[in-house]
Amino acid sequence: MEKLQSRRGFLKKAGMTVCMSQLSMLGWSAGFSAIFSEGVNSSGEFSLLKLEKLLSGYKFPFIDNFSTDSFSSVYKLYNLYGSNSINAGDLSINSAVAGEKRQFNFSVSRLANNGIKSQKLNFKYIVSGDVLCQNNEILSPQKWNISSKISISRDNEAFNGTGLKYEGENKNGEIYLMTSGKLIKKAIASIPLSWKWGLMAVVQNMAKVSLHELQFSMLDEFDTIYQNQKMKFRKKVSLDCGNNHLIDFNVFELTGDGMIPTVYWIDNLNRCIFVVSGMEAYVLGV
Amino acid sequence: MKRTPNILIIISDQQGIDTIGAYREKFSHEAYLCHWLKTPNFDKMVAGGYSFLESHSTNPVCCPARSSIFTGRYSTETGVTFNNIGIDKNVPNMGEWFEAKTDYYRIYCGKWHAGGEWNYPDAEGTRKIPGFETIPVGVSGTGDFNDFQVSGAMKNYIINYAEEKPFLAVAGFMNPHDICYWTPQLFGGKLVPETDIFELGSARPPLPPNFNFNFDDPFPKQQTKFTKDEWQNYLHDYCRMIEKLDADLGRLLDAVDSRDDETLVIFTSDHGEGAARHKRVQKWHPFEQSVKVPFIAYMPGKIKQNVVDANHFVSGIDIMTTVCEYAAIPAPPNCKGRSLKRLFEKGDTKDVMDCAYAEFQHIGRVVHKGDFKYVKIYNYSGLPDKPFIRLEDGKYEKFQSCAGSSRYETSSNMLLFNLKEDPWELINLATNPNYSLKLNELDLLLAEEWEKRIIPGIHFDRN
Repeated sequence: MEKLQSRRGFLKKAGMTVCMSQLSMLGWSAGFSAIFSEGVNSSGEFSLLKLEKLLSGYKFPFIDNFSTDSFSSVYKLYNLYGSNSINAGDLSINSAVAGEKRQFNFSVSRLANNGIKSQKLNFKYIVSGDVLCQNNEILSPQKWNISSKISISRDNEAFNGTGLKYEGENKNGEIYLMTSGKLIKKAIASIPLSWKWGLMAVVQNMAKVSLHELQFSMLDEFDTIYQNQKMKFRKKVSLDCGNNHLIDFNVFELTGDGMIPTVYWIDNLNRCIFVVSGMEAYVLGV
Repeated sequence: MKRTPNILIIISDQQGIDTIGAYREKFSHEAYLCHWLKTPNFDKMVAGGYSFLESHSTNPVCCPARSSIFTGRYSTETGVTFNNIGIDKNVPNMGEWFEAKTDYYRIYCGKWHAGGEWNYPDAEGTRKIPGFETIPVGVSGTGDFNDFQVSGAMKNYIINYAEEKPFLAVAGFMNPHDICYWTPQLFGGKLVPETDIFELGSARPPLPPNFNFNFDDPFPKQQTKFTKDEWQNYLHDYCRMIEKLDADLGRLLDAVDSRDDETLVIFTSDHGEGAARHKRVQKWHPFEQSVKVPFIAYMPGKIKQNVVDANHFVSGIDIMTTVCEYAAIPAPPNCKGRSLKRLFEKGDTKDVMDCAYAEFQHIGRVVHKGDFKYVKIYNYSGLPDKPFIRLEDGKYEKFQSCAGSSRYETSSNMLLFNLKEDPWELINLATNPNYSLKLNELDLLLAEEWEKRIIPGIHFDRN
């Protein structure tokens, strides 16, 4: 009952039922209304054990509904170095259906260096751009425009010649990467191509439509192809996402060339909540 | 005057020599990792350049090995006999030497860890590398997080670089060093599944033939209580880290190949990885998996292509002298390496060594000549005729490792292996009287040809 109430936009806590619209009036976003509860129990799952400390304070982003076609998701990037998880960046992905295509734009910012400490500047490595994909089950990228740079923010100049814009194109598995009209790289994707951040949308769709295994090559952010990737449904797991709210997750695993086995956790609304690989984790925020 | 080439040095961390796919024929046993990974960019470098199979770390741990690469001196001479010690300030590093002798623009990005406890340099301040400008990348000790940034930033930098003068650039990658965190000692065992939960099965490398061995092993175990599945999962993930590194290498080769001018690319690693051989993880020890590292030089049109040299002995010490010759400057005084330029371009072997000398930590020595490898672990005498460190006030002092203990110093030890007949180092011949002449010959070579040439460096605190 409690789970149902949370799905319908109610949270029952300490004998008090609060309607989502009331929360909106108190300052919550009506368009992406969220209610937070404290902590997610890893249930001894291998991929989540690494995040245990982090998950104990995680506020699960409950929402009413979620479209796997058109969505905006923001993740925090954690570097699982040593016994602590360091919040080392963020990733935003926006997806929209455009006829038979899917249009993404994304931006990922990674903490690069504490840099010039005397000036208290924190450098970041920032990659952002637009990716036009086929709206197929692996969201094959067709064209992309990407910029990457070391800088102190998305709006600042690149540090010392480290900024560049790339244009990429996938012509039936032949990948062309250009900068300022000059060809930098030509490569072959041996099997249909997907791309790194698009995979979050791919698994969301898999959870919604079909759990069958997918095989593909993967464009890593914008310029490198990893061959022989396999996305496989592993199991369903119920996790206590705070205050005894049990959420059913579909768990997927990505393996392949250059890939430390990576685990995707998709919730009952088909949202990708956690992505955990080796010492890196992406955790959905709001 | 003809412009000298740009120089790009790429260094990985903890990469054994058998991790390059192109070497499958050379390392034919299926337990070598080259059979379990794909490295198209390393393969491209090997096919397009000159590489060595007898390439040795000068001291198989990060700081000492890196201090040698960037100075052309052995770690005893740089004063960096252990991790987190600064390079003797009287010994110039590559950046300082090029700054003094050339007009090269010198730029560094990524892992340094060649002097001081800091892995990554800052753009300014006490943690800036003397002689180099810095692209500020590196927030923690993981390659998973940093290497993509290093390759991305350096790729853009190389493509954008349009100055008249050539550049000396260094890209320091952390991977596959991340495998250190796969050992329970460092990460509580949370990164290696106890069973084959990802159903990788036979896609995982097998245990090596020297997983079990019989001789008396004098070195710290640096092994875990891994089950067979855990070991295989560990090896599997190590191979994936190499493949990630290969992608980072590819970004840099793309950038170099896109330029119209000449760039000498040298790739090496600071040390290898235990990879379950002798039941070990990590490095520190003198076995082949710890000491042997890739060494590839690439400059299409200038350097001989597709030469995999199994005969000549090289180490990180040769990089400084080689890049100096390419930059048309003399090497710094007392450099112990040899320039490999004439070997790379003309096959001239005059300058190349017929044996390798390496140190491990402050009291271990390795001499590899012909088929035989001799290992000696000194018993510290307290006198400056045996391994020691020299302090800035000129006094000598017994070195204390960061663990505060003398790890190898309870007794002298010697090991002797015939690597041709016993490439997995299963039989220690040092106690076999039939090999006493060989043992004495190599001991004399160590004492007369190597130890006498070493000029001890000063332990310099740059932290």
